[in-house]
Amino acid sequence: MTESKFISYGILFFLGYVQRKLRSDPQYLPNSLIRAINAAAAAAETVTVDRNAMGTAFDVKEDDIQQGYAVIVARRSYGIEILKIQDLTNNVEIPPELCLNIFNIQILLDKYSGEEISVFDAVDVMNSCFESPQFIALGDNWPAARDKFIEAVNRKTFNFGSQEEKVFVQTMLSKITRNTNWEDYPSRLRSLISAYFVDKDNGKPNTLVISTTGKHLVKKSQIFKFSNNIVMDFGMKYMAPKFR
Amino acid sequence: MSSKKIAVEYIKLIEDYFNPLFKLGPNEIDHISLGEEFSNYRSLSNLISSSLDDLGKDIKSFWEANNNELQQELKNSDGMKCIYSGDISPHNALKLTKKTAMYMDSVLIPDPLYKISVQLSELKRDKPEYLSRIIRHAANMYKLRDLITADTAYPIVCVAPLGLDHISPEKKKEIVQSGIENLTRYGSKIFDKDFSTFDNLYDYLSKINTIEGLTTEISKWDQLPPDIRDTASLNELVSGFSKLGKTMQRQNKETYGQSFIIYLNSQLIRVEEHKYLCNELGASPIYDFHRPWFFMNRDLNAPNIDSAIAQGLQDTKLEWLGNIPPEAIKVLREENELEDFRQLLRKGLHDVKVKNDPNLNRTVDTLQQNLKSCIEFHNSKIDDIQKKVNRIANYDIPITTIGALVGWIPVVGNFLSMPFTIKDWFSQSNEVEAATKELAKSEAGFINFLIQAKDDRK
Repeated sequence: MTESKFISYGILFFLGYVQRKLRSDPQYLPNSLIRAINAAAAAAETVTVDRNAMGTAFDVKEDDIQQGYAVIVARRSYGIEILKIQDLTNNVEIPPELCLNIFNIQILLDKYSGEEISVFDAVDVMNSCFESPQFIALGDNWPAARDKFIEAVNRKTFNFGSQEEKVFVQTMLSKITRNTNWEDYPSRLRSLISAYFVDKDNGKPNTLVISTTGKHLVKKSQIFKFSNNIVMDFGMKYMAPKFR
Repeated sequence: MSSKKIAVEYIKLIEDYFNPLFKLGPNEIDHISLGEEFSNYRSLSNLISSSLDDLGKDIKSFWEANNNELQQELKNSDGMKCIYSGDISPHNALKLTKKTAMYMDSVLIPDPLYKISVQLSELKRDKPEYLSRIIRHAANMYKLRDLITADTAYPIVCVAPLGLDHISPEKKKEIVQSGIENLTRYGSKIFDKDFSTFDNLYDYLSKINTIEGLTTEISKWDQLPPDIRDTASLNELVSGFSKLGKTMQRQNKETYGQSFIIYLNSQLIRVEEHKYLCNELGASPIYDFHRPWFFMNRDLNAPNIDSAIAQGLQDTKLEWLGNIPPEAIKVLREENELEDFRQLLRKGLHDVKVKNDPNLNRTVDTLQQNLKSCIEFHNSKIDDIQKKVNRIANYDIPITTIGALVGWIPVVGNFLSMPFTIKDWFSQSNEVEAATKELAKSEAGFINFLIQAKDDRK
């Protein structure tokens, strides 16, 4: 399959989904990426063959730009060719693979009402989209994770990596008690405890643990930002090597 | 809503969900490989799977609103109907329809989208598998859109949610029970043991963990369908079925022997379901490959016509209208081309089924005489039809296929069988003659069609 076919199928299937959503809910606001693509396609109608056109769209909530995209297309004799998709909030180019992931995340998030979802639901959404990394929500397992970690430190089986890390951990552990709330742990210590727990009990490669408690809610817009970063970080090995 | 309106709305629903497949070039759709190709691209297949999430809900609502009326119309129709069974939808629905559309009034196909997205919704756990199937069958149906929506006296192709989900719980229970009882008897034959209950059979097979164990225990290989009478083919079938079972979470741990018996159980229940539907709608069974046809014939106590005999029938060089493009079929049927032929079959089959003639001798004679003259008429019409098709399709294409019809396997009463008539039409072979002798012994009440061309399944 060519890259052009790949992205075309993705866009058309997502457009079909959007049309059905709009039929059942006329107030539904389509994702800004598909709106930007639509705007670019509409702009291309006004230019001559082999000239370029651009479309942009933004999601703004409480004066904050949460998602924004610019799409540049060229009008060709056979149709419209997408030249570039830019994420304007992070100022990075969006490859076709990620473009399709953004659409997929949108469909999955639409199943949850409201602006926020639980951390467990967020993990489900991410895991449905990405083969690697896979995510685990620590949730209410944090006391067990803490105990395992302290036990490993006491038995000197935990590898700190550096003297500086060792000093940090020992200082922090001396300040917490069994009554300290998980939210009050330094985030670096939470990450270490979570990573050790996951590594010990769920030792699959490329597994990331979300260390917040089960009560925590995640903004939907954060999931888009997070997934964009994930794809960029895991970058070249993940992004459609078939096309490169 | 009338059946025609329902058909139009059904095609709209397919377009609503699968339009990208058709927009990006209907001519290039190879419905078998396209779904598999998508599943090679994780982000694309994930997106498409997610975009299809509501399909099950929508198709369920669609049939809840329309099925009763459609079923009633089908029951009331006096057309010559065939109900497809064997796989989720025909391997190549267009090919099957091309071979039947000029001779039968209607081919009824159980809605494959309902089957996959509602009845087999657990398949979604394996996204590539689900996607591969749903795309394959959606494209399969979409290719028939002109024939499904054609404005003809009888629908050329009718898609309906036929199956256990749409019959009363009591009848469903009866069908399942009957399938299980048949399976107990069938298992006794295969393993040459006397299983008094299904539980006995199941317990016995629970102890079998390998293909070697199973093949050692099978005593009567000739009881199995011909295509799985060797170790490799049997293993391929049982292993594939077992893998599917895991996806469907049929059971956490299933022994090899259990997978085998659950597969046979599914086939025998399908036969019971098919017989029930055929009775309810006054239709005949139709298949496009040998295995389900074997199970039905076995159930009807029809002779075990092996592939050599089927080949004998195929070698009779029947020239059959089997390659008319769908746009031409639509026009020809709308113009009632060959209506006399269909009328004759319709009446002949009806007479046989209701057994108006106590001994059926007169019916048989009349049908054979009529068919003789009809086939001559049919042959004389082929040139005319060829010209018409060339004009409609705007290109020159051979419309007949040789040997496309493997067998009309006759299990109607004790007397008549289609092969008698086929025998009279065409050159005879020893195999066909042997088959017809066997056929005379059969007792059940269906004409059981297997329509298959040599190149259909490889």
